[in-house]
Amino acid sequence: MSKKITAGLILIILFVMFVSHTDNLTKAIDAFKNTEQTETGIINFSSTYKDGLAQNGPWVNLYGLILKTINKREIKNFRIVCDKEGNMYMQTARLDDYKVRRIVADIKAIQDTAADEGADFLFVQTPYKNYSRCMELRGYGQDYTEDNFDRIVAGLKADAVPILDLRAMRNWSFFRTDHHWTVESSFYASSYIMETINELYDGQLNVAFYSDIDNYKVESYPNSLLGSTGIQVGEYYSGKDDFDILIPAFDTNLEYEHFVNGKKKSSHAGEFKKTFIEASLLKKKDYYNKYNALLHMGWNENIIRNLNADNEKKCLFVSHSYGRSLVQYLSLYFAETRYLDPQIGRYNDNYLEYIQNYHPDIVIVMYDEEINVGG
Amino acid sequence: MVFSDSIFLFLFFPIVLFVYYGINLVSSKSIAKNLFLFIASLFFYAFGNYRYIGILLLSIGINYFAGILVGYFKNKGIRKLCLILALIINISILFHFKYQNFLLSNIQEIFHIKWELHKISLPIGISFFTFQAMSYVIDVYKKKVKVQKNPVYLGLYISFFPQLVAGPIVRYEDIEDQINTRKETFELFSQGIVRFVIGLGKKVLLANNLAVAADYVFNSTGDLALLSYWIGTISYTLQIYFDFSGYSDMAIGLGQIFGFHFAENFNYPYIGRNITDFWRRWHISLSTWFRDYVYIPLGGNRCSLWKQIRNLLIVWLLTGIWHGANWTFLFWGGAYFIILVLERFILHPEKYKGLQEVLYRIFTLLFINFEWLFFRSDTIRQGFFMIKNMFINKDLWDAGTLMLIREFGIFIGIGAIASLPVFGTYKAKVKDKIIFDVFEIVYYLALFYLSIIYIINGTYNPFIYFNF
Repeated sequence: MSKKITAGLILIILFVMFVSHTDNLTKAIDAFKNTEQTETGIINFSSTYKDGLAQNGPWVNLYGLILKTINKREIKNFRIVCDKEGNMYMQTARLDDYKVRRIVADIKAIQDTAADEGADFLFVQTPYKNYSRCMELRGYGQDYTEDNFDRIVAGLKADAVPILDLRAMRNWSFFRTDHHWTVESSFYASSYIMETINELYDGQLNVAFYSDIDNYKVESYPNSLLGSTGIQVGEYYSGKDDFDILIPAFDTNLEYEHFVNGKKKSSHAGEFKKTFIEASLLKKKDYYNKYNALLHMGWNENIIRNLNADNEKKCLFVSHSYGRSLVQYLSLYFAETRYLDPQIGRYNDNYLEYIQNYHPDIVIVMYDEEINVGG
Repeated sequence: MVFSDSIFLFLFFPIVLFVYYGINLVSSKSIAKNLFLFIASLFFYAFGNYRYIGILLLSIGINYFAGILVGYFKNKGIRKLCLILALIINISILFHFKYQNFLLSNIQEIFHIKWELHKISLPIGISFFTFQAMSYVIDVYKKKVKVQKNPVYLGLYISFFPQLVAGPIVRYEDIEDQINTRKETFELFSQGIVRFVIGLGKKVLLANNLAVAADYVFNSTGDLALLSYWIGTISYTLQIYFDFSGYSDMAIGLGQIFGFHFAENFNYPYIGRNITDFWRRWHISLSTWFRDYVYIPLGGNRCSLWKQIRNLLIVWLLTGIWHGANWTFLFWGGAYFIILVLERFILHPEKYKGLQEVLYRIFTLLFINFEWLFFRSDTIRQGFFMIKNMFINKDLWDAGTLMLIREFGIFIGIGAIASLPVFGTYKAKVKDKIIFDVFEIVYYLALFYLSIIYIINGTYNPFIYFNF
């Protein structure tokens, strides 16, 4: 009898799961239809359906709760590891020497093109959240973040590329549940970058004012952020992060446009918060990764004009998503700032041609992967 | 598509179940039900192996016509010729996909010849469905079964999705009647659902978690401490059991859900008293296949001692190479051949009693553990390297060992207990009690619910035996 009752209840669960995810099925069918090759279509169908399930809050929260109950710190086949304080880290594999040489060559090519166009150049090595020096996570597999960056920086130094290595400059803070640095950290990084640029290039920019944190006010959203690692284990695993944004206390007048494949996707204008921050996301309870509230999640080609700028300089900023929060503060120093994200699936056109067409005054690269430089 | 996948669980399975029992309501005749299950099985295979659906259909076609021809001719010589031709074609297809590159690369190595080898992807489950198809033609030749004239019925036998990609290897004689006439009952259906849930739990909750520990050790660059190697190999020993027996449980359960009875494939192998006993309990459908279609036709036990040893050698080298085109599998099969010959002709461990029996049981488990180590290793050299480090190592333990214990100790502990027949023994003692029934319902529901949580969020899902 018990087996019959069990079978009946399991059937009910199965059919509830089937019916309650029909919207997911519709999306998956669309993904299949939108693919030309059947084989790829099947893969897209599967991933769309599975992703839809994995983004389901209650299932993720239950998963995190189980992991917490059994005190698991290794998550999803070492994709994430977590320390006692709930700081979650993503593991980075070692870059082979050939790849390091390619990265160095790409950055050098950008520097050379910038020089040809009469632009100044700076490579910025960011700190990256990693557990290379975390004693309690010894044994959880080697993290090669620092090793990779050391070799990239060494390669660039050998090629006489101007470098600002931010890693040792302060105790950088990161979100516990995300791989990104905090907004405050990105603000300090923008200050260090501008101080360096001013030192390297004649001190024509008003760095002292914009880099003074006393000229900013803090807007806090406590216990609100589940970042890219946090959303994989839910809110019960290690709680949510506080999310603080620095808003200029002085007058700002900005215009921001986001382009994808040359087409304008969104535009915003006005004072700092109105132009850059997607405030509605910060208030949404069911929205997980609030880091996307910064720069309206601009992930491709971003153009920012500072109508209150005291110079006519144009800055091209090439960076991964760490730059999304940083560029908001960087843009206060220049008349125009363009921020391109070279990660796969983002802005992947030829960067040398972009520089040749744009004619920037300053090029800042804060990216340590390969970049499309043609060839 | 795999059983422990959300696409199977929340889409394919409910739809197939709904349509199948819908057809059953309208007409209980087998033809419509079998046709639907055949189409569903082809879809199941094509979903993950779109390019190779043709190979499966080719195998069905060849063996269908081979069966017809073997059954049609009365002349023994012609019948034998048809059988041999069918076997050659089946083995040639298997050889092309599974062994061709292995052979060519070894010839290259030995004779220092250089030619370009084209990568050949292995159609999933080819070893299983080829063996199943061959057994049908052989049984028709031996007149153990009647010729199946309906191609859909034979197609269903070869491609039925529960056992298509990783067994158990079902004999046509065992399900001949069930294909033609079978009766689905709620009793059998319920047993099938529960059996499926048990298999799902074994795979998703135990095998997948143990796999992470095993991979950590087997994929390491050789700088681990002594105890880490032991934890890694024990994890793999448990992983492969729960992975494969979990799959078999799900296959048997799914068969029951659609009214079929498949033979058991596992019987708590790690409680085997000796290696011979272990092989009576592990992958039973493969062992009996080799016994009936290779060992006995070669003469089996009814021949001279040397011929018996030769027969065993052939069977175990074939068993090894069946698992994959790699010297590690041949080494694995060869080592089993040696120990089984020793057990049968010299040691006779079945006669051991008391301390001798206990010690031999420990030896059996250690031997199996080392065998799995070679089975999992990429090369024989890696296997020996690991064994060396399991005994001679500069560190007894290190931070990695402590991590393995903290992260995977719970799964190793539960796995060790679950590999023993504890639940069945306890159940037999209290079977009439209502409280146990309630416990059983809660237990299976919890198992199912936990499995769903892990399926939705987990990342590790391949079945080990899909590679074979």
